[in-house]
Amino acid sequence: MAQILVVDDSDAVRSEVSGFLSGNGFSVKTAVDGKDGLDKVKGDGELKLVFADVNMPNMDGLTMVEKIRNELGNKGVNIIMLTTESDASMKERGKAAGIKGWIVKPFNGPNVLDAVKKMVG
Amino acid sequence: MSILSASGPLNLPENSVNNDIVCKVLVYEHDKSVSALLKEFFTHSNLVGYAVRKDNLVRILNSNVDLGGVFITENDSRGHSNLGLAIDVHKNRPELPIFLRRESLHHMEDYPKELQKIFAGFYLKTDLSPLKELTDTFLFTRHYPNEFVHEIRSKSLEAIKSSFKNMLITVEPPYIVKDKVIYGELFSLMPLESSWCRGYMMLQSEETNVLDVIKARKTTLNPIEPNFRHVNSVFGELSNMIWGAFKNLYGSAGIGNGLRVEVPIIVNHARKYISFGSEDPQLCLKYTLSDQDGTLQPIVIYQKFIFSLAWSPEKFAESQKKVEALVSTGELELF
Repeated sequence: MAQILVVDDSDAVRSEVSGFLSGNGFSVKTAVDGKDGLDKVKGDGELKLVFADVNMPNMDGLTMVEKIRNELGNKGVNIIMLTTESDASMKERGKAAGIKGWIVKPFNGPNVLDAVKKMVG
Repeated sequence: MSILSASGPLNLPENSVNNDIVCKVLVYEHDKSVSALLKEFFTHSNLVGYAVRKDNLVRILNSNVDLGGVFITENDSRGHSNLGLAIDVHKNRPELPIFLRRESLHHMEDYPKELQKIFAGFYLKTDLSPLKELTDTFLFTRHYPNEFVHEIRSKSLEAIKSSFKNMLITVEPPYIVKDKVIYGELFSLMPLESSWCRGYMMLQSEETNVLDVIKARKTTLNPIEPNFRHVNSVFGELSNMIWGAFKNLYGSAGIGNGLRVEVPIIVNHARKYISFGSEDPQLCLKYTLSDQDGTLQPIVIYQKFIFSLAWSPEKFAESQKKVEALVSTGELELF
């Protein structure tokens, strides 16, 4: 079963996204900020996909992505940003760090489910 | 608008739904002919008047948190002075301008100077003409572009619908508020900034009603034992989504030329009072979320916009031209 990590400081978002993905047959872990997310990605070689917010305390999502790529390389982990942000320069920064996609909140599960299935195989 | 009867918390009438920004005022007037004249004035001035009596004015004042001002007569129907009542209103809510109908004098010099200060101004039964200038000076001091109000209301509704499932949501017409009283126990504050404005968005609600909705599994949370932290979480994410929508609509480029003004925000918990250091009226949107089954108490959310740090609405139209495309939410953009 594909492992997915949801990184968001909002309990409400973690609950919504992880609940939706679990209900669709995925194994889901959660992290409360970028620092927690980085630690969990480093500690779990089975992760296939990460959903990450941008604005989070302690470490923001884009910094987390850059650290994952710098410290771990690709290692088969796809990253999608799930955020209220839609700023083009932020998207460019994410692309440069190798993210695979960008979703502007609010999360609409059915719209992204097919793409997620393709991404995690 | 008209003059409506008041008994408790005041809601704006449905038929006032349009793009005009209105203002709620209390009216203590015993003379029916003056009431009729005020009604006509309010109709042309975007004021919604709520008729009160001498014996319930302060109670109704205290059961509302979103008023703009008070109209009061100098004497009651028996000729007894209402000055004591006006002083009570001022002591309770010094933020609210009081418009006094004098019996005959065209000035206030017969009042001690300290007493004169509690009134925004006066008018006469035979001459209501000062009211236009008075309400422009004390209530409608800010222009909020219709397009801005429409967009922010629409995006906020989208965020509320996303946060609360299967709820019937109604929103009152936009209105301005002079009150600085906090509604409920729960509020969030988000800084807002664009090239033409800077300030805050404040959301206010009641904890118990939001908690009951979480328990009924009508939010994105499904905790085993819901508590106030889950309420905070739902409210936090709602605030975050509206902030994001604002940023996507208007950008985040700072206003001004490098000079960033900051003003302390003062909160007095005992008085349920918050001040942003500005006397300008706040733009308010009031949402009511009702359970379609009718088993839960409605959630009331007050959304207030306080652009206390910078406000240049004349630059709003200019900034709109720069918006390239609307951001579609919920869609996956693949790279």
